[in-house]
Amino acid sequence: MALLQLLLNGIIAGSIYALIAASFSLIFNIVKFMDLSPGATFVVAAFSAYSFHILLSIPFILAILLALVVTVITALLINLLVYKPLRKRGADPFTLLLSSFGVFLTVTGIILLIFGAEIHTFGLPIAKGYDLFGAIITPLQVWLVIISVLLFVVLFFFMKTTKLGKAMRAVADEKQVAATLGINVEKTTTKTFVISAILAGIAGILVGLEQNIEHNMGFAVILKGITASVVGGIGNVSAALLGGFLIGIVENVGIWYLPSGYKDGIAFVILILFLLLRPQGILGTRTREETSG
Amino acid sequence: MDKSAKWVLSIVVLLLIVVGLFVAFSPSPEGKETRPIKLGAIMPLSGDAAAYGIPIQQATDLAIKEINAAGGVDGRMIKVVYENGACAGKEATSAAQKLINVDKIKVILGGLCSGETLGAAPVAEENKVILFSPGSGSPDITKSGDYIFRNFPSDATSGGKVAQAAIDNGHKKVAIIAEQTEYAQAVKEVFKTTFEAAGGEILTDESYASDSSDFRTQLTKMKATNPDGLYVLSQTPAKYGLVLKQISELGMNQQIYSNEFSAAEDILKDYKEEIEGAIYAEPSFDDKAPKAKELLDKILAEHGELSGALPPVYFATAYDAVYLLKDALVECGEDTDCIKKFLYGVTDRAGTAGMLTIDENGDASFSYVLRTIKDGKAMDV
Repeated sequence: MALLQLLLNGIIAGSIYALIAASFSLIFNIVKFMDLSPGATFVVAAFSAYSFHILLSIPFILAILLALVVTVITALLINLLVYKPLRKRGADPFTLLLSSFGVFLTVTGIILLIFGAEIHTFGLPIAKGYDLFGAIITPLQVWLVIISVLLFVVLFFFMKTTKLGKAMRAVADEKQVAATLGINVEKTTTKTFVISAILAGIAGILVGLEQNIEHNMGFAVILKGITASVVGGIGNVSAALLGGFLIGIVENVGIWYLPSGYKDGIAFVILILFLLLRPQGILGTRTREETSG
Repeated sequence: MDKSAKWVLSIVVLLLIVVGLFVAFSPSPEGKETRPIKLGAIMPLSGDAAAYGIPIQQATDLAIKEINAAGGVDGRMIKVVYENGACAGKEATSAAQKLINVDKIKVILGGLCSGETLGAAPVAEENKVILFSPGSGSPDITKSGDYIFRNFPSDATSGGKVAQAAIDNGHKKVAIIAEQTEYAQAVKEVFKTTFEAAGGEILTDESYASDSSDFRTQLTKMKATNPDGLYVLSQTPAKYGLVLKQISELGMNQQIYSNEFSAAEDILKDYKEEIEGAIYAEPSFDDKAPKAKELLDKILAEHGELSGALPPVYFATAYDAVYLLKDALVECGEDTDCIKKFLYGVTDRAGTAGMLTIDENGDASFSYVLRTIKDGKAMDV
C-alpha cells in the first residue's frame, strides 16, 4: 500500500523536523531572533554520541546521556561567550542572527577539524522492518517516532505546569513585566537554551542512529526546522509538532506526484505560501506588535 | 597602542617589505630558474566526496615526493597548491580562478568529481591553462575544451554496458534512482538511452539531492512500479551505502545495477548482504600488474590502509597523471600550447593504471568491464 508507506515516511521525517522546530521555537520566543545554534547543537550531540559509544566503547545509554551533557555544555558556552555579551550591548535581532550563523559555521568547522569530512556510522545492523498493511517501518524508526511524540507530551505539560515553564512563557510574553514580577529573565533565558539544546541534541542522535553522521548535517536541518516552526506558528510548542509532521508528510506525498528532484522545493513553497497568506502559522495568533507594525 | 609598540610594528613591517622585495627580485645563482614550479590541484577536500579527494591527494603527494627526490623538473621542485573543489561546479570555478589569477598557475590537476572538472573547464580554457582530470567520468567532459584532458575513461561506456547487461539478464523493466550531480545524471542518461533502444522500459526515474539522506519515498515509488531491476547511481560510496540500506529496509530484493562503488571496501564490508549479486561496470584495471601493485603497496606502507571508499584504480590514475604532467613540464616548461600538443601525442604510455592513449578529444581510451559481487568479492561477470 503505497499511500500508507508515504504517510509513514512523512511521519518519520516529520518527527525529526518537529523536534528541531520546537528547539527553534522555544529560543525564538525568549530571545526574539531566529537563533541558528540548534543546528550546531544537533551536530555536536550526534558526534558526541558517536565518540562515546563507538570510539570509546561506552555503553549505549550512558553514551547518549554523556552526549547530551556535552550538548548542554556547548549550548551554555555559546550563550555565555556570544549571545550574553551581545545582549548586554543591546544588539539588534539582525546582528544576533548573523552571530548565530557564525556560531553554527564555527561549530561545524571544529567538528570537521576533529572528525574529518567523511561520513561516520553507528554501524547498527540493517533491520528488517515491520509490515503494517504493506507499509514497512523498522524498529528504530518506530522508536524515533515514539520518542519524538513523548518528548512533545512532556514538553507540553512542562510548559503548562512547572514553575520554569510558566516563567519561560512569561518572559516570552513580556520581558519587563516578567522581571517586575520577580522572574529572573537572564536565568530563564539560559535554561531555555539548555532545553532547546536537549531537543536538538536528541534529534541529532536519532538521525545519527537512523541514517549516518557528517560534519555538515546541520544545514539541511536548520532549513527544515525553521520552515516547520514558521508553518506551525512560531513560539508555540504544539505548533512545532504540527508544522514538523505537515512538512514531512507533504514533501513525501508530494514527490509521489512530482519528480523527486522537487522534494526540498515543496517544503519551501509551503514556507513561502504561509509567509504570504498566514505568517502567524497554523496555530499562531497575531500579536499586537505584528498588527501595528 | 603605546608609542614603542608602534615603533616595533613599523620596523617589523618595513623589514618584511625589504625581505619580500629581496626575495622577489634576487637573481638565482647561475642565472638558472630554481624557484619551484607550482602545480594547481582541484579536488573535493570536504563533504562526502572528500572520502575520495583525500586518497587522491595521497597518491598525488607520493608522486610529487618521488619526482622531487629525483631532482624535480630540471632541478626545479614541483609544489602543489591544493584547492577544495567540494565536488561542486561553483566551488571548482572559484578554485580555478584563484589558482590561475592569484597563484599564476599554468597546469592544474583535477577536478575529481565531474562537476568540478566541468566547472573549472571554461576558466582553464579561456586562460589557456591545462586542466587534467585523473578521475572525472562524465561524458560531457569530452567536449569541454581543447586544454581539458583526462586519463580516466568517459562513463558513457559504463552506463551503456550496464544497460546491455540488464537486457541480457532478461530484466526489461528497470526503476532508476540517481543522485542530482553532473556525473550521476549524465551516466544515467546514457543508461536510459541504451536501455530503451534495446527494448527495455524505464518504469520510473527518481533522483535525490546530495545533502539528503532519506530516500524512502523515492524508493517507495520505485517499489510500487514492480521493477525487474534497480539502477542505482550515487556520487559517493557513502550515499550509495545508505541507498542500499533503505532498499533493504523497504523489503525490496530486485537485482541491483550500479557503478564501481559496488566494490569499494566500505560497501563490501558494511553492506555485505545488500550488495551481493550486484552487477556494475568499472574501468578495467589490473591491481595485480607489477607497476600497479608496487604503487598500492607504497601507499599502503605510507598510510597504513588503502582508503576504503575508493576502488584502487583512482590511486593509479592520479599517480600516473602527476608523472605525465611532470614529463610535459620537462618537455615544454610552462608553455601550455606546447604541453597541449605533448598531451595529444600520448600513445601507449605505460603507467600504473595500464596503457594510456589520449584521443583527439583529450579523453583516455581505456575501457570498462562488467563485474559482479559474489560471496562478498568482486569478480568478472
